[in-house]
Amino acid sequence: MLFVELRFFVFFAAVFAVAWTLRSNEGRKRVLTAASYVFYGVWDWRFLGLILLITLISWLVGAAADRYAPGAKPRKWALGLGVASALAVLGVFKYFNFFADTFVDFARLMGFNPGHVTLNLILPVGISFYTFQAISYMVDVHRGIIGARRSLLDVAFYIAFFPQLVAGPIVRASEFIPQMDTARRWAEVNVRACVALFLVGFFKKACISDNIAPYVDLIFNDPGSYTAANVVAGVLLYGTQIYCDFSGYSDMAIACAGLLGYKFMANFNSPYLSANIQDFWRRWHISLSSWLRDYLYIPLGGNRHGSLRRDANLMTTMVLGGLWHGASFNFVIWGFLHGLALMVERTWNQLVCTRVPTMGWVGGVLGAALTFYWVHLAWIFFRARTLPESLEIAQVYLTWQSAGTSELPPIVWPLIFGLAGLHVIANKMKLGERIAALPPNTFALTTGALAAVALAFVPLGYRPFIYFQF
Amino acid sequence: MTSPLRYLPAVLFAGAFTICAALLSQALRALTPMPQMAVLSDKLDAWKASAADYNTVFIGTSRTFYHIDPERVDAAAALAGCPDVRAFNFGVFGLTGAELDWLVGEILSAPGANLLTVVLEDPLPQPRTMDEATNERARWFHGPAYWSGALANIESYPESLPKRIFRTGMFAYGAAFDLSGAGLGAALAFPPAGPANAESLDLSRRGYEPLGSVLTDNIVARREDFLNDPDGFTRALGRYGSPSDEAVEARAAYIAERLRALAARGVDAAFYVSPDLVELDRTPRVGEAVQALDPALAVLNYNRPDQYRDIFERDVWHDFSHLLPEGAERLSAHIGADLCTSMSRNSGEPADAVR
Repeated sequence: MLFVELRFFVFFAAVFAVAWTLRSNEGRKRVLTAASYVFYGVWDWRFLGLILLITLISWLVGAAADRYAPGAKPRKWALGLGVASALAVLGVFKYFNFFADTFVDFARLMGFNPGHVTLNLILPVGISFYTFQAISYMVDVHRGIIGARRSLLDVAFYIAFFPQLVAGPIVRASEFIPQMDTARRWAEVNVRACVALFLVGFFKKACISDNIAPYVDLIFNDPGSYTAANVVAGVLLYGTQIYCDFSGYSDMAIACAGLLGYKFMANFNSPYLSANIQDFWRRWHISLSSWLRDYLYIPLGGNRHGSLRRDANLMTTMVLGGLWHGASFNFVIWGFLHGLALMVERTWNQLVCTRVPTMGWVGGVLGAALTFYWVHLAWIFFRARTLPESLEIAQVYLTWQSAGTSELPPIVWPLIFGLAGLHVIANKMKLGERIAALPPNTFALTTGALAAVALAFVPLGYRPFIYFQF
Repeated sequence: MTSPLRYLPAVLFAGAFTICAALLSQALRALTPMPQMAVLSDKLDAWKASAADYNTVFIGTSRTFYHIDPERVDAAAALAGCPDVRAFNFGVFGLTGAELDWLVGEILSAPGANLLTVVLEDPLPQPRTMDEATNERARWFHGPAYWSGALANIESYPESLPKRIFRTGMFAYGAAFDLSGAGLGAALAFPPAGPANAESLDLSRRGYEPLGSVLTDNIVARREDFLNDPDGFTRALGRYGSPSDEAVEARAAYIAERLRALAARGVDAAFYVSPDLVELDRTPRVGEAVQALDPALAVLNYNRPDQYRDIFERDVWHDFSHLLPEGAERLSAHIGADLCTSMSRNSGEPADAVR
C-alpha cells in the first residue's frame, strides 16, 4: 500500500475517522497499532512476526533497564543482547547472502573451494527502518533518556506506527514515546500545514520522481549507448528522482502522522543547496544521519580522540551507513565516497580555512557546486546494478567522453533546468508554508485544484518508493 | 453543537477537486491522440489505408476475429454465385457496445469506403473488473462521448438486474477514473522513454488470425480449461454469464436499432450469431428475437447444430466459445455461401441460413 494509491486514501480515511472518534488514548493507540499491522500485512503478512519479535525484544530490554540500576551488568547485558538480536535479524534477512557470497569469493581467491550457501530469503519491507527504531528505543532507555514502557502496546505502537514503518523517517524513541502519554488533541493539529505538506510530498513523488524514472532507467540500463551529455543528464535526473521520491515519501509520512496528532522530525532540508558535504548530511535523510551520529559515530569515539581516530570513525560510520542501504559493494562505495569527502573537507577546513581568508560568496558557490557534483558521482554507485556498470557511468560522468550516440527525448533538458528552478523557487518562497497560511476556505479551494492538477501528472503504473528496498 | 460550516472547507476542497479534475481531464483528452490499442488500432489504420478494396466488413468480438476468414468467405460466396464479395474482418477482442458504435462510424466514414454489407456481431457487455474498466482502451471508451452507448449496452444486455447494476457501478468507476484526469497530463508531457513497441498485427489475412498462430497466456489457459476443466466454464458462466432464461427483447431492440441505422446509411446490414457449444446458449435467442422483432432484418445465425453439424464437432473447438482454424474455415465457408444467399434474398429469394 503506497501513500499515492487510492486504497491508501481509503485506509487512511478510515483510520483517521476511527482514531479521532475514540476518546481514550489507549484506545487510539490500539487502533493505530492494529491499523499499522494491517498496513504492513498488506505487503506480506508473514513478516508481521518479525516486527512482533523485534518489538518483544525491545520491550524486554526496556523491562531489564527498568529493573536494574544504571551501570548494572544485567542491564548492559540485556542491551547488548537486545541490540545484537535486532542486528542479527537484520543481518540474516538483509546481509546473509551478501556476506556468504563475499566469503566464498574471497576463499576462492585464496585457492580454497568452499560450497556455496545461499538462503532464499525475501527482504522484508522496511526492516532497516524498524530495526533502527527498535535500537533507538533500547539505547535511549538504557541511557536513561526515556523511561522504559511497561506497556508492550506502547513499544509496539512506537515501532509499527504506519506512517514511518516502511521507509522512515527513523523516529527517535525519545521524541516519539513522550507523545504517547497524553491523548492527542484535534485542536492542536495544524491540518492545513499537514495537507499542504502531503500535497507537496505527493507532487514530488508521483509527479516528478515517477515521471523521471523511465529516463533514468534507460541510461542506467544501457549507459554505453548514450552520449556523454545524456549520461550526465541521466545521473542528474537520478539525483532528482531519489530526492523527490524519498523526500516526497517523508513529507507524506510526516503529514499523515501530523493528521493523527503525532509529530515527526523533518527528514530533508533542500540538500542539493548544501554548501559542503557536512552540510549535505545535515540536510539529507536527517533522521538517518543523526541516528548514525548519535548511535554509532559518537559511541565509536566521535572526534574526541584526535583527527586520525575521527577520520576512522567517520569512514566507519559512512561505510556502515552505506551498507545499511543494501547488501552490495556499490552501497559500500557510496558510503566510502561520502566518508572520503567528509574526511577531506574536515582536513581542508583544518589546514586551509583556518589560515587563509575565506573566499566569500564565490567560495560558497564553488563549495556548493563541488558538493553537488560529488554527491551525484556517489549516486552513480547507489543506483547502478553492478560495479562495472557504475564504473562505466562514473567514467563518462568524470571525463565527459562516451562512444554512444543515442539521445534521451528532448524533454529531458527543460525538465532538468525547470525542476532545478522550481526547487530553488519553492525553497526561497516557502511555497508549502505560504499555501498552509491561506485562510481556510481559500486553502481548501486552492489545494483541491492543486490536487486535481497533480493527479493529472501522475503516470499510471505501479512504481514503489525507492527506499522501500532498504 | 457543531456548526455545519465546520465542514465547509472539506466541501470546498472536494468541489474544487472535482470541477478542476473534470475540466482538466476534458482539456487534456482533447489534446491527447487516441492511444494505440492492440488489434483495434492496427485494423483501423489498415482499413483507412485500403477501405476502397473491400465491400463487406464483419465487425465483432474475438469470435469474429478468430472465426471469419475473409478469403474463405470470398471464395465461398463466389462459388454460391456472388463473385464480387471482398470481405474484411474487423473482429476486436472484447469489443463492447460503445466501441462497436464508434467503430461502425469510423469504418463507414473512412476515405474511399464503399461498403455494401456490414455484418455485426452482438458486442460484449461492459467490463466487470476495476482493471478492465481502467486500462488504456477502456479508459478511452469511458469518456463522456461514449457514455450513452455504454449505458445502452448495459441496459439492454440480457442478464439479471443485480448484474446490470454491478456493471453500471463498474462503468461509473471507469468513467470517474477517466474524469479524474489521472495520468493524462503525464502521458502528454513525458513521452515514452523506450523504443516504441514494434509488435503489430499481421494483417496479411485481411484482419483474420487463425486461433493459435499467436499464443497468449489467456489463449493457452482457455484451451487447458476446455480440455481439463469443463465444469469450470459452467461455474464461471453461472457467475458472470447470462443464463438462458434472461429476457432478450431489449437486446434484440438494441441490435435492431443498429442494423436499421446502417440500412439508413444505404448499407446492407446483417446480424451475425456466432456458434456456441451447448454450455453457452444465449446468443441464438438474441438472433431469434431480432428476427421476431423485425423479419426484414437479416440474421446470419450459426448457432444451429441441426443445420451446421460440421462446426459443432468438438474437435474443431479451441475452447467453449472459439473455434480452431479448421472450424473457422468451415464456418467461413458457410458464411460466404449464406451471405450470397442473403444478398439474393434481398432480391426476393428466401435464405435458409437467415431466420
